[in-house]
Amino acid sequence: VRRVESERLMAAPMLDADGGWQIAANAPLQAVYAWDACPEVLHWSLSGALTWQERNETTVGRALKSVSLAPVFVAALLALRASVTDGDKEVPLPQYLGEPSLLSGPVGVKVAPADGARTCGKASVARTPADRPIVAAVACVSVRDGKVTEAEIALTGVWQQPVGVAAAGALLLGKPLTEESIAQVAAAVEAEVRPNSNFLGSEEYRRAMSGVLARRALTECLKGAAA
Amino acid sequence: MADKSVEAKLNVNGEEKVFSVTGGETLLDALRRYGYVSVKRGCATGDCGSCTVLMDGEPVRSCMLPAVQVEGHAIETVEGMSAEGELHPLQEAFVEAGAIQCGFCTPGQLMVAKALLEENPAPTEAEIREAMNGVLCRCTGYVRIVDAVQQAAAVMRGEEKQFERVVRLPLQEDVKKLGLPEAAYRKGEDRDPLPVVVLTPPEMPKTERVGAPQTKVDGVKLVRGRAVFTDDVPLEGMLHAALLTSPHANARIVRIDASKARALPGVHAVLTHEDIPRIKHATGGQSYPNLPPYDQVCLDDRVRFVGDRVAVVAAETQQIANKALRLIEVEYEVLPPVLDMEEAVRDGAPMVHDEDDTGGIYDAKHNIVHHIAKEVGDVDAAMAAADHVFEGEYYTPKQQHAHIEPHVCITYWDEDDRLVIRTSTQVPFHIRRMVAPLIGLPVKQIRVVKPRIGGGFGNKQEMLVEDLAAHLTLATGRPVRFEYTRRQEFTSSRSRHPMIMRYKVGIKDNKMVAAELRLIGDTGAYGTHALTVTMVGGFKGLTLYNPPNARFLCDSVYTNTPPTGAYRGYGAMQCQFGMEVLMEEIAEKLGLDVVQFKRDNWLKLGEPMHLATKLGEGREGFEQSMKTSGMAQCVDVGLEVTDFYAKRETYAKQEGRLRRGIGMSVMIHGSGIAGLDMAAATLKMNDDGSFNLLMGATDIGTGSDTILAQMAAEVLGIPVEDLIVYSSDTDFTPFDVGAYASSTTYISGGAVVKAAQEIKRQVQEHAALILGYDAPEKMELRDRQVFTPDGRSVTLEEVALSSLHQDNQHQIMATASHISYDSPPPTAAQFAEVTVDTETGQVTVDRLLMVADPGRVINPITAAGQVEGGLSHALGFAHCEEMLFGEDGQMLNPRLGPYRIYSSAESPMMDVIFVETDEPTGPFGAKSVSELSMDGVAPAMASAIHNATGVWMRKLPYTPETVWRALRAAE
Repeated sequence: VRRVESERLMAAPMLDADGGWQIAANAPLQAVYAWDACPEVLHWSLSGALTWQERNETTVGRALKSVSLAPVFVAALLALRASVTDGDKEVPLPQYLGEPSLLSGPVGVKVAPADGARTCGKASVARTPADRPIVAAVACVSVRDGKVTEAEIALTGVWQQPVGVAAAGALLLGKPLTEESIAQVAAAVEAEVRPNSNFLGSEEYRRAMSGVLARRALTECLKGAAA
Repeated sequence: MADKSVEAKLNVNGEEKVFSVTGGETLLDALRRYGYVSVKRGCATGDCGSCTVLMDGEPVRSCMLPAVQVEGHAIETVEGMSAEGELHPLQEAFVEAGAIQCGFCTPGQLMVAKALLEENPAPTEAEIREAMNGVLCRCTGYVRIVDAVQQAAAVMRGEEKQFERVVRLPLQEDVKKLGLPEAAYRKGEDRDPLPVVVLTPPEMPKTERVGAPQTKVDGVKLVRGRAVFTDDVPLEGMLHAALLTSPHANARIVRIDASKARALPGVHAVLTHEDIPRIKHATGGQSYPNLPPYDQVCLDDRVRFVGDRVAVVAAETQQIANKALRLIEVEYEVLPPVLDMEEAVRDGAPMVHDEDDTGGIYDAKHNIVHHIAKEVGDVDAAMAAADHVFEGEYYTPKQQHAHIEPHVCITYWDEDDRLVIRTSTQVPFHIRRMVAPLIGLPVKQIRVVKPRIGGGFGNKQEMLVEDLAAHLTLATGRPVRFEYTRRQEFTSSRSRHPMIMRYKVGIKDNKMVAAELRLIGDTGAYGTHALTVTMVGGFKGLTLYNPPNARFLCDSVYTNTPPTGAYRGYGAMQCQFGMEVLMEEIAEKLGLDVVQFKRDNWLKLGEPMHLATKLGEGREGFEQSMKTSGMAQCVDVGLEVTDFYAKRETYAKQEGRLRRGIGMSVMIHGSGIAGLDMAAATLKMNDDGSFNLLMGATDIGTGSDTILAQMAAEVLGIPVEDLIVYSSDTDFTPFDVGAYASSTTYISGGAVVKAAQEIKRQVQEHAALILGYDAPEKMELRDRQVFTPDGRSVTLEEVALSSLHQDNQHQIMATASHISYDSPPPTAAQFAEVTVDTETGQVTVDRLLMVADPGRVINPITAAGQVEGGLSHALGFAHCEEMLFGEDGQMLNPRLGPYRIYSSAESPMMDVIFVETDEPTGPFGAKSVSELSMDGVAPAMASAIHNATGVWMRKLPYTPETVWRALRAAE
């Protein structure tokens, strides 16, 4: 059962002067969804399986504390290299997900400006279009002077919680983003993930989908960069 | 320690309120306790959204919010939408568009739609579907809900847009000359709801009330959120029941000690098998005598599935009742379970029923509850003489009904010491007869009241809660409310029989000359409906193409899984799936046009249904032949509007990741159970010329009250508004078997028409007396008057006043009964268009079109709603729904979310075209429509997936991994 506070219905994400942005802990996911400047990948992560009601009832802080509430949203934040804030304290999101006790209060989100031009892509597979994804992949790639400066790939459905596949993403750094490099990374993603089976998908299927969907997400980044 | 109450101040519908609530109480429970009963409890787990209210203008699920934390907020419920008496444009639109079927989710839908239109006065179709995605509807398929929101938006914007909802066209042989609306071809991107197209043979008699898009007679009270459902009317001193269920799939109860639970303050009764007489019975709501086996008792010392009954509690509050369950000590001797239907019949498999007091099991040692072996002609000889013999094996899953209103009943003693059972049931008369011996009361001391029902789909054709609630009222003397939790709906109610079908078909000169179906049906732990579901499956599966030589061999098998039962489709959808996919496979192998191959073989007009006498739904059947069929026209129309052949050819040549496919199937169903289903109706004239229409027919949201009133209105020449419809109450309405077997339009309609005709005769006679006319049979009833051929008239009000108070005084009334030895098959063609992602296996359904022949369409809007709702169930069956179990028999997905029923945002375009026929045995030519819509989606999807990928998918549902594996295997 989730708490809904009156102030949070007014909370809204804020753009920083340097192009980064922050979302307060008490902002409902609906405020993020309706935010004019919401990155498309973040908006997508709040669509489909998450209903209007769920977005109203779930704050950003709550979504980060209980990642099963909005796992694709958390994956999108991972791909955006978000950090988690509690007052003056700031912790990278992957670190926080591994050890939530690092921050005691309700946590907000901060996303720093990209090192270059950032494009994002996403892909998922589900039983039906608005079902919770069996596996979802979100990738964000920053490119400067034709070379990748930042690359983050995050997945849901391949671990107990949304997870970034850091080693695979690192393969892209310092190189141009190409179909060939994407294929290498997709294979690396499959090798890196450690999924568990459940009734929605076997370990084998989830592993295969991690590669397929990471490739699709990165290919969307490539198209975005080209555009 | 009991939770302390605190005061919470909130504004509800503009009024300041102070609620006294406990810390653990949800906003949902608090609102209902304070009388805001439009707010519905469908799951209490946040999955269904029927409890949605607006908080500060934003939709939230009241089941997920603690009432104490809503202090200071403004809450809106449906009660506030029309507080001044006038309906909100959304409420009006929901009634006019036919967006309501059972109406249980309607308040939640209205709340979200209101918030949407306040934020976005001109939403697109996609925006409406996205906004409404959090409120599940199991009845409608969402088409008419979208239509209603579009209408309300237009009205609220001040537009005077006319919404054309029905297009009537004369049926012609050349489908290109039909003049179908351009939109029906779906050539652009427009996904807006289409008008329902009704194609009528020119020779069919004209009608006025019948065939009109009459709004539902219960529509207004449902959109107002009035207290019309079982649980909406709390009683003074009412206790709350809770059920303890088995955690084991197979076990004996060695010891049970309820003393601590009984000692808990607030607990009034705890019943175990030690407290209730052991009376063997079957729980399926079927006609007398109920079919064997009688393998159940109210509470047993043996549990046979996870979710089986162990004990039941009645307490002052639900919280105390739930707490008491945890205090019941049960010691189990855990036994090995058998969960697989093929394993269950092997030598040495655990016996699900080893008790010695259950008769009527065919082979208990091998868990075979029924064995059926029926044959017509000489199958072996015909197979031997055939040019080709083809075989195929098919599997269909265990599907749950997922009606949004759970099973719920309230039992109490009335002022005459009669037991009243107010219950959400499809079969009130069967419930009365079946409960009586279990609780030791005569039938005459029991009254069953069926209020509005929040969906049933067959699951409420079962006695699941009424007997235990009655036992608790007998034990306590108090009113008792007993409602299943959503989890119990999955684990402790009923579901669709999983089936393995092995077909063998002989083809000679491209004609099916012989067919054999070896069927295994999994009945779960009890045999309710085990015989009849499989029998119907065999009959329909082998009659669709009706070979003269046919053999049906069936084992209906016990397993330690939740029992299966009646579910819309009732075996026919499973077995027609197998047959239809096999026909497609045969056509491919023989290089035939599959449509022509089916056309050459399907059941023809006048043809005797060869197995009709052998497979009569649990008993010997009656000879039957098809008297009307629109099958050919349905297929032709569908081929035309989908551009089937062109797409089929194009899609077959595709390469790449995303591939589209189109498929089709044909189907038949029945209209009631021949020679068994009986209905009765009573009409009674009032002083003002209006009539009470009293029916045992059980409207469970289908709109049957409305269409039956339309039939009576047609005969009596009155508007439907002059009929006061009441169904059903065992004290006040005549008998009806209930809502199942697609019988209501055909059988109950027959009773209503007969009663109305008798009323008409009485009215004519009395009018003739008033007018001094000597040929009453020549008088015509229309416009609330009775006319002589020479133009003289008297109003119905004058007839009523005269007959009641003045001349030849008597009550004009009539009761009529109806039974039919025919069960005329409605026919249809189903088309499906899909996109298959060949890398992930994900199938997206783009469009479903059903072209259906239900006989005469009594009400095109409610009929289309029935089809769309059926398509939605059938889509889930084919695509995503399956009850799954671990090795220990625990269900893996006992919630609506993980189980997955289709929501609004993801539902494909669903279009409906009717091809009318004039069935001579049906009321005004009607047959049926409800179950027909279940049968064709799965085979049409199989056909479409094959068109897209070249792969035959013989096992349902088509989940991504299943399709992915099939595609990889085919590489």
